[in-house]
Amino acid sequence: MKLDNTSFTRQHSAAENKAEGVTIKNAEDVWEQKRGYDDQITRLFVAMVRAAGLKAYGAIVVDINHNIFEPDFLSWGQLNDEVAIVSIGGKEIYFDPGQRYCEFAQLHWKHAGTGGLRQTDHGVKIFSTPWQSYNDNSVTRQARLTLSPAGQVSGVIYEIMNGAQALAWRQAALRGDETGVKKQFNDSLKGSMPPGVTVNVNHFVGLTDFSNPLMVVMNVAGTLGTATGKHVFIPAVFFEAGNPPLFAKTHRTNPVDMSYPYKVTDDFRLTLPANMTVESLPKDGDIPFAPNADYLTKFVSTPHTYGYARLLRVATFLYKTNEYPPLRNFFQKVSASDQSQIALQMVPVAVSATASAPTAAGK
Amino acid sequence: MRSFRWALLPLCLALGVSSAHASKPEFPDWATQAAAAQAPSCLKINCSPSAQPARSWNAIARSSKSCAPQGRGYAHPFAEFNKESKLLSFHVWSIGPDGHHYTVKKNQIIEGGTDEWGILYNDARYKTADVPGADPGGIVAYEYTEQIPMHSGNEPWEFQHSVPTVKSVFQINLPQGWQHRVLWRKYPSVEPTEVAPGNFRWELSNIPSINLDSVPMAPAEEALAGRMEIYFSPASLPQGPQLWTRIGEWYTQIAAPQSKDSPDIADASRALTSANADFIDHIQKVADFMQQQIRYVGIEIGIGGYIPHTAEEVYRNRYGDCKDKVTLLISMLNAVGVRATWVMVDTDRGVLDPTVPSLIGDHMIAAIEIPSGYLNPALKAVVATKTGKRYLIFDPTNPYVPIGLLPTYLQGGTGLLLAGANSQAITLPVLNPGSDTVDRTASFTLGVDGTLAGDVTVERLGASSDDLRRWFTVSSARDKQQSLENLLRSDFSSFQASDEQVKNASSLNQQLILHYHVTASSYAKNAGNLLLVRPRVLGSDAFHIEDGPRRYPIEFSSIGDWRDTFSIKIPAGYAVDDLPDPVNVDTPFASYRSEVKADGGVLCYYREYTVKKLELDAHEYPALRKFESEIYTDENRDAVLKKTN
Repeated sequence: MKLDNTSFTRQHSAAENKAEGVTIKNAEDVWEQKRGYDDQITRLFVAMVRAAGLKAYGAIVVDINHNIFEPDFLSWGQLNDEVAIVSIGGKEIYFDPGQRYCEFAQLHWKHAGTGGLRQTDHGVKIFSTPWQSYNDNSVTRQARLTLSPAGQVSGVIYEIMNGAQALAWRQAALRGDETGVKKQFNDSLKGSMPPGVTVNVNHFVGLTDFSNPLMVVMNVAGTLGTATGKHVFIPAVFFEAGNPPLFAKTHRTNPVDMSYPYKVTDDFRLTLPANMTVESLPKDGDIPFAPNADYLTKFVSTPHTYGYARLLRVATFLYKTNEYPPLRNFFQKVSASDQSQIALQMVPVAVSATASAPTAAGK
Repeated sequence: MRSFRWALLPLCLALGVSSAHASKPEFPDWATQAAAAQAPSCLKINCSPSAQPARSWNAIARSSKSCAPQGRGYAHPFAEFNKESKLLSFHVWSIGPDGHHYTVKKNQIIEGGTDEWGILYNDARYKTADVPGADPGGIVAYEYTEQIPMHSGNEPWEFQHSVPTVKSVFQINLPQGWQHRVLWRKYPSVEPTEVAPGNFRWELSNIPSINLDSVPMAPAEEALAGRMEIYFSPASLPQGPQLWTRIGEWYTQIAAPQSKDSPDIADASRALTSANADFIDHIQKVADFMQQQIRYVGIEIGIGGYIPHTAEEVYRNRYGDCKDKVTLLISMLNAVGVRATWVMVDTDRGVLDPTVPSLIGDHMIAAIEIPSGYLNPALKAVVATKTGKRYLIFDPTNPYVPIGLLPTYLQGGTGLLLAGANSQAITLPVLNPGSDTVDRTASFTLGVDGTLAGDVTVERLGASSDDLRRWFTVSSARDKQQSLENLLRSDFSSFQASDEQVKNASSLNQQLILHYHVTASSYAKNAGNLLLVRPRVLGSDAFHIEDGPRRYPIEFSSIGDWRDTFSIKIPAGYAVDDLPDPVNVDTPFASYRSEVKADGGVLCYYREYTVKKLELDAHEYPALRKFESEIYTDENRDAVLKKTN
């Protein structure tokens, strides 16, 4: 049975509620009417958990996408959203039932690592929600592509995500439809792809199933690389070819807020045509920025394939201005590695042989 | 700038006046029928020989259960009115997806004031409401009736929008003996049925949407949308171009008295130039005065959206909107013996259609009569009319396009020369590519570590530099620096820009010059022992165009000629190993050529991109895509340097 979370659909007017005989004053009303806004649904969740015999507490927190909690500023106005806390086996677990499609026992990133007021067995107290780890917000990008002798690239990309990214796309689908989300996703990729390469979403897997990671299956087409008389040059890190460094400016006036910790893992394989072979590979990358972040890349080739594995982990997402130079330095190095080029040498071939690229089946 | 409020009122329509005055609006049958997909949205005009016409609008937003949730955004009733166009009634109903009927009460109707850039005050207001049940599967219905002034005796029926329309109806009720005529644009015409004597009804079904989402280089939606214009009169109606003249005569009659000379204006105008000055000196000085001394401020009350303030008021106050500025310009030029008049235009090319006379334009500019036989190469925006007169077309509202040229958004559009009995539609000139140029020159040095550093100069001349001239005139040094950095971000991944200098931003007849120094680290990329350098260092001429069919025409933002000349000194220890091939593409609408040469230790890059036509038909899309693809590929080519030791 599903509840209509009106924070993601439409607030109903008093006339509508009256016409439908809907009066929501407590959690039971939300349950019976199957309708409520985000905080009402959170309260219903607390009530239901209590009814099941567990200890559960309501809490109200600051949305860190807008503000930072000031415990000494005694104003209710700084508190935005409600979350739930459940005690299971002596351990407190945080839930975000008001955020539709938020994973079980997880908070929306805007409610993690923030503060506010909560219920306890002995009254109300100031508290903090737990911080997220980069493992809570991960994206894995897997590509299986083929390059033709004429430089045309084709194949499939699978992007698997959990946490913040998955939640954002699922909630976008609530406010629009799948076609609209596909377009938004395609648009979000446009700037980061190599010049000449087009990526289009074929389908989503798990857009409404938040108990599993969200997977996006994409088709790749277009022209990869630039040719000169002797060489073809392709970007070493396909997924970052169009992305500029995260921090271009040398000077920073304000602190840095990257929203949440995250992890990005790439697994890229490109099958080369028979008339091309890898002439040189970039050096593998190992850029530490402990304890805040790190970056690893490994480039590999065989006579007819090129591939790389890449891992970027960002554990710290808030930085003061005096911490900006080393942060920028880290991302400058990451960008330099990401912007490396692979030189493919043209070799004579007696008989042409072209591998066939995998294709995402339509859904 | 878009202040000329011809199109102030949205099309609306209605049930008859009788229902409009109902004290308790019952849930209407037509809204109930809408649930069964039978009732159309309907615009009605009731003309009366003894009173102002009444225009009423019944609108239905209907969505199926499969409609996307974002469709809720279209379920907002809206009725605009002002002192002159009185709103007689406004009622809203809805049917929720569960079939429940709602009637929005008076106290749930929201009234607000509209605003518009540059308008200090207007009396335009609107009514709207948050409608219950506005979910996929629901129906939102509303109707309003308003009393409208009868201006030039014609009204548009704008039936095509950004979402599909199931059914749309236009109905007009004319008194006995009245004449009417209709013209259609961008849509197949249909014949009306005469449902009662003098009561004509046009009905359209399944009108496709004009969906410009993700359509690059598209004209404005209003320029593509189907429209019917109806002309009506108690007397006989003219035909063809004479319908333009009819509109022009109406406007000239109400506007001409406003441009009457006053001693102050005459003295001021004569003081600007000597009595025996050349024609261009006269108009240049008056144009400068209009562009620099008269601020753009609009005050529009009722018919004030159409009638300009008097020239004397505008001169005294030193402010006015577009039609006010033109009115003062006419008056000041008249004082020095130069004739000028108004030209109604639309700032979106294609909205005004030469074959469908209409008041639908949103802007007013000037036409200055050029003396017979007078020639001057500085006067480029010139049109010749059917009467044999030549006019210089000038927009005094735009303070950054000099007289002689025409803003790019107006070029190629249609205007209505408002000159009494000589009023006529004119095609606004499209200037030559050579009149709009950008020259980028730069001299760079490349370091062994891939760092590129050098000085850049960008020189611009022509109408398309107006936005930059404005930006450099009104912005702070910090904003300019930020703007430059944003611009360079598309060319360099990591850089520092410094020593930015701007010259001639407000000297419209001189080149707008921008100098700066840039240092870009990691510009050249390593690939083994090779160093890859993109010789097209700055700027992009390519427009990304996706595969697939094209439904709509194509529009370039400007005609022009853009040239890049860059030199890159290569680092010691490296030699040129490979260079991109030259590119030379020429089409009827644009040309592009580029070349890289190695001259000693220097890479010399030159390219030229020329746009020759503003508008292309949809069938030319494949040729455009091929053209843009060649530019895109060329822009991303690298020169290859190799270590020599």
